[in-house]
Amino acid sequence: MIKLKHAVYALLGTALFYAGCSSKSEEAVQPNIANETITQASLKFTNQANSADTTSCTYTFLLDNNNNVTGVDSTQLTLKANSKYNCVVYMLDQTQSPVFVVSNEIKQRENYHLFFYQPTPIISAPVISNTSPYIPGTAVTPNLAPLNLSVVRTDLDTNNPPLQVGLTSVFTTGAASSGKLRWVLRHQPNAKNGTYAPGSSDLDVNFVTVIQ
Amino acid sequence: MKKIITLSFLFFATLFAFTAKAQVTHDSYWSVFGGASVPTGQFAKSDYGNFLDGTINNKAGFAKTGYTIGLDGAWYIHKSGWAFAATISYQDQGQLSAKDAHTLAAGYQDAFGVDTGAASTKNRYRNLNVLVGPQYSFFFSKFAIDLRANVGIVKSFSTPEMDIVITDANIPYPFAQLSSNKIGFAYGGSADLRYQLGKKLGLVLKENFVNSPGVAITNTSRINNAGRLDTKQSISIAQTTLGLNFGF
Repeated sequence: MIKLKHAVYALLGTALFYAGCSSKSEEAVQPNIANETITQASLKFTNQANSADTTSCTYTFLLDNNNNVTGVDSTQLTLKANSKYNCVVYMLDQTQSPVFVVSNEIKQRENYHLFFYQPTPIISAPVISNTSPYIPGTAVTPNLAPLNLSVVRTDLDTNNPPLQVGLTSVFTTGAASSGKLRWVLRHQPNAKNGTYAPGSSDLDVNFVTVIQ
Repeated sequence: MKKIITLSFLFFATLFAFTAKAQVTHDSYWSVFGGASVPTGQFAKSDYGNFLDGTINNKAGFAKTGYTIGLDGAWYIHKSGWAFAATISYQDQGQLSAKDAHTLAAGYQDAFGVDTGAASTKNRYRNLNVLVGPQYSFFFSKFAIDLRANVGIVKSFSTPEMDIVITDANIPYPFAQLSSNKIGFAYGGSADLRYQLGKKLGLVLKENFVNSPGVAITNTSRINNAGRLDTKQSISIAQTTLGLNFGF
């Protein structure tokens, strides 16, 4: 029994010695790399009432030989009045060969990306929630004729609970009008909650929009 | 190395010379042991995987080869080859290295598509195994071979804490995988070779395998489902130990 006690004391002493050994910490910072580059961003529309009725708008960043942005080119968005359109996002990185489809990667990274679609002018502030595609703080201009356009995102990510993404959406037009559509892609790494505020913008462009 | 082998040979030769007449018996025994504890499977892995091809490895343990010390015993039933056995052992499986921290930083940077990823780690894998089970022994004069199946618990004293900060557009997003002191189910088996040195004294060389589905891991500030997220760290180890056993 005495042997047993001695052995146990020796064992516990050894355990305490090793347990007491300092545990150093390690730190590492991964070097900077560039985010995905978007050189061309398009919205492609299909009229729900007539699948042959399609249209699109495209925003292009013009680059020099060193891939520096030297200018932009934006096409006009023209939609029929009192119609519903299915909208799909299509984004490219033309600096890569072959051309890289960024929107496919956004789909893979949907759990921290969120698209916003803001028609202007507006005559009253839109209702903002975690399912609203509208941008808080957009200027309200009661004296201007509004762009009669509403947007609903139709896709969900795989967060728990799922949040909207905006790679697909439905645009509903009203009476003939004109204005702009502001289109923003928010990058919200480990911060996406359905609202506009967290994160930063990967894309923030405007399209001249005509509903006729 | 040659010196160690020579000294070991001399040590065992001396022991065997002094104990030539000793025979292993059906006596119950307890033993004290120590040795190497080697992580296996996912517990030993130190990869992050790739976010875009869906191969992120949530269960990579980044565990290292460490040591184990413990107490062991077997109580024979009516002088048969069957015994009830129990083991209590302490293990240290090390901590994350600087390279591991870089792997984590790069992995989270890629998974969240951000400008930078930073990882800092602290704490070690330290735990206590308490295992019981049936043992069957084969006796050969001065030797006995024991085969054992075990079930029990693993009590974690700590697991590595991983503090991550991903930064995008100069906005930091911190989150962490915390150290765990939880208890998990464990099971395994062992095989050992006992050599009788004296009437009540013997040497035992054991190979022990322990598996645990894991101990619960708490993560803080994880808002989105992306990147490595470990909520239960599985543990699997192979241990080679040498001990002294005492009959009673």
